[in-house]
Amino acid sequence: MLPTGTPEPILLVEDNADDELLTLHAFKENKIPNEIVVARDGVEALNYLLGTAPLPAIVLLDLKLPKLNGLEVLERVRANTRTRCLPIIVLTTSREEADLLKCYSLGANSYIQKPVDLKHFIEAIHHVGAYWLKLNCPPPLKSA
Amino acid sequence: MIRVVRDLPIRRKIILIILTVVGIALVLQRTVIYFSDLQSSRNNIRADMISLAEIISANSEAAMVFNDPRAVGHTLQSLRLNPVILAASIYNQDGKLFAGYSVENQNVVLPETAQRDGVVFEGDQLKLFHPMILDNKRIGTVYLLVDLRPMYQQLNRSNAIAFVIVVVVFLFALILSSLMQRLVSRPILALAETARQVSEKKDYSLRAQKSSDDELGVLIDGFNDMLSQIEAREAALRESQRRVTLLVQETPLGVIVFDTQFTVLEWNKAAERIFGYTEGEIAGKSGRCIMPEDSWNMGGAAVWTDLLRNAGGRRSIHTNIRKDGRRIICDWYNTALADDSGKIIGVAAMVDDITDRKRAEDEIQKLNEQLELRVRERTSQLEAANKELEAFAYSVSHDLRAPLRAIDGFSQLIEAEYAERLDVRGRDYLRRVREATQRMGQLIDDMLTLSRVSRSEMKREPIDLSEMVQLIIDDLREREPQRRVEVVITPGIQATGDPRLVRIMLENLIGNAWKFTSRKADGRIEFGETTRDGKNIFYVKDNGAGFDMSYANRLFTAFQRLHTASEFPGTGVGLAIVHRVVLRHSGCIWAEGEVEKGTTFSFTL
Repeated sequence: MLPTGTPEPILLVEDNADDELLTLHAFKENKIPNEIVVARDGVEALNYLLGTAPLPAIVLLDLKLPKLNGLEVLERVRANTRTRCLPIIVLTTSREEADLLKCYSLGANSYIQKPVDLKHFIEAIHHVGAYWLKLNCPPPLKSA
Repeated sequence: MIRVVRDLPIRRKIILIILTVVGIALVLQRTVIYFSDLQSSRNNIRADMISLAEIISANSEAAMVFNDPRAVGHTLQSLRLNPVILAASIYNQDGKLFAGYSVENQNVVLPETAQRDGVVFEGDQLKLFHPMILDNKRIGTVYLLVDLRPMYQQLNRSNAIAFVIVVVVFLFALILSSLMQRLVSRPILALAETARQVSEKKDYSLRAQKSSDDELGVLIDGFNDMLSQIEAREAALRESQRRVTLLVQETPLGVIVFDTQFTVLEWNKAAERIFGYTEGEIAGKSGRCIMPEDSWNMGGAAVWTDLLRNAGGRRSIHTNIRKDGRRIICDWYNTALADDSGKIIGVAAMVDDITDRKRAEDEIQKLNEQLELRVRERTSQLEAANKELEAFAYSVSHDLRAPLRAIDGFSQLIEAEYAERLDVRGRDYLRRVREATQRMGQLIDDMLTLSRVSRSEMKREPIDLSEMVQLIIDDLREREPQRRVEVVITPGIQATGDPRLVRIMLENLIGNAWKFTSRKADGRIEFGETTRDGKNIFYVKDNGAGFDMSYANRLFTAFQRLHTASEFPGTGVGLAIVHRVVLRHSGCIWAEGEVEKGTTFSFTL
């Protein structure tokens, strides 16, 4: 099932260095080979996604971000034809109904609450990799 | 004539009727008797004269046969003894005068020849020609001229006597009828007099005397009965009038009656008090005295015109003016007065001085408005505070959890990657760090739930509580399959509430029961329903650790725990959440328990 050659990168939008480190650890633990690109605020994420760089396989998007928050990023990404179908997985601490509702309304593909327990978190990342990188059929590259 | 008779007093009428009847009867009777007398006298005299003629005839036959006029004359001369015979004569077979006799000095002329047989009454005289028959052979004719005057005189005499008798009888009838008419007229006159007195004095207690049991008696009974009814009605009317008058006089409402020109007709004591005018001062004057020009123009005139045109009643509030010039606000209840034909004849008004009340109302209105403004301010402040709280809760959820995750995550990494470099104590410390982290995570979750339970929108739907409890139990059994707990759920318990909140509440209550029976070998949890004062009370009962009733009032306070975390894990927020949910449903909750015997939570929704 793995595509030949180097797999597309994964874009991690995360402002918290601890969380970034733990997420990278979780990817490593799960032996996911994709390159992890990290954007540390909303603007950085948009620059990457709407720029010329190849699109990532998936985006892991935190909601609480400096400059532009996750919801705004989501909205703009969905408004752009190039990134309209990009799989976006919201990965956040919040479990507020309002956040869930807004994310799905704006076109998030998945919503995962970060568990406090690292073991649970590693397990969650395992599921993400298994589902979104292996099981799930991604949208065609030149989708528009 | 008929009119004159009709208008005669009844007494005269009765007498007149009697006298008319008696008079007609007498006259008729007298007339009949007169003609009957006349006829019988005539018949008598005719018979007498015929028999006399027979006698003369018999006495003269021989002389006639022997043709002896002297002898016949002699016979006839004997008639002079009868003074009514004016003349007599005999005629022979040929009808020629044979012999005659006539009273002297009477210028009587004997007829020269015999005329037809028979009797003729001529004026005061009777003429008789009678045949003389001998051996069935006619030999001549007897003639008699009779003076009828004595007979008529006799008749006239008895007529005169009869007239006197008629007059006497008539007078007698007059006297008798005058006396007898009283039998009829007296009760009628008495009735009429009573009626006159009743109508004159308006005294309905008078009664007509009843003197007989005939139709008049019935009439008088009827009249008296009518009077009794009128008397009773009059008394009732007077009583009701007295009451109305008293009411009008004593009511605190001003009562004013106007005619259609807005002229004051009636004015009670309360009206005097309200407007300062006495009845004497204002009666006959226009109602405009108490109605200032501006008030009349602003509604007063319109109400008045409307009342006169459309009848019925109107309530209106006007500014009025007192005699002393003070302006007052009055509440008017106006009713158009109509006569029997429906024509408006005036307006009756009840009026109340509401100046003070109005002022108080205005004051209250102003206060209400201020209050409303304040409530609005407070509400917006509260809303702002609520928003802040929401933002805070969001922050807590996000910001507190992130470092916690780092603490836990890195502790685990140390445990995993550097375990061989730590001694037992170091590893124990690390374990404690992780445990504390887990508890804090739970605490944050519970606080968020509490905050969410407090501010989320409420829905009210029917809920099957039994089913909900069963699902929660199933969940718990799945999570801890090694636990052996007897669960008894009364099926089909229904309630109305917000399903999400009720679910959170039941999760906490059942979760508590589940947790506190964990040390019992024969744990038992019961969910059921009772009724008290018509209200449904639901309960969750366990036979777990229980609690000391002296701490019952602290049970529902957030972060208040009755057990240590090492005995039973927990944050102390669960029951606070339960309490909040029950309060949001306007229900109540209480707990009964005994240490080591169990706990029962009862609640209403």
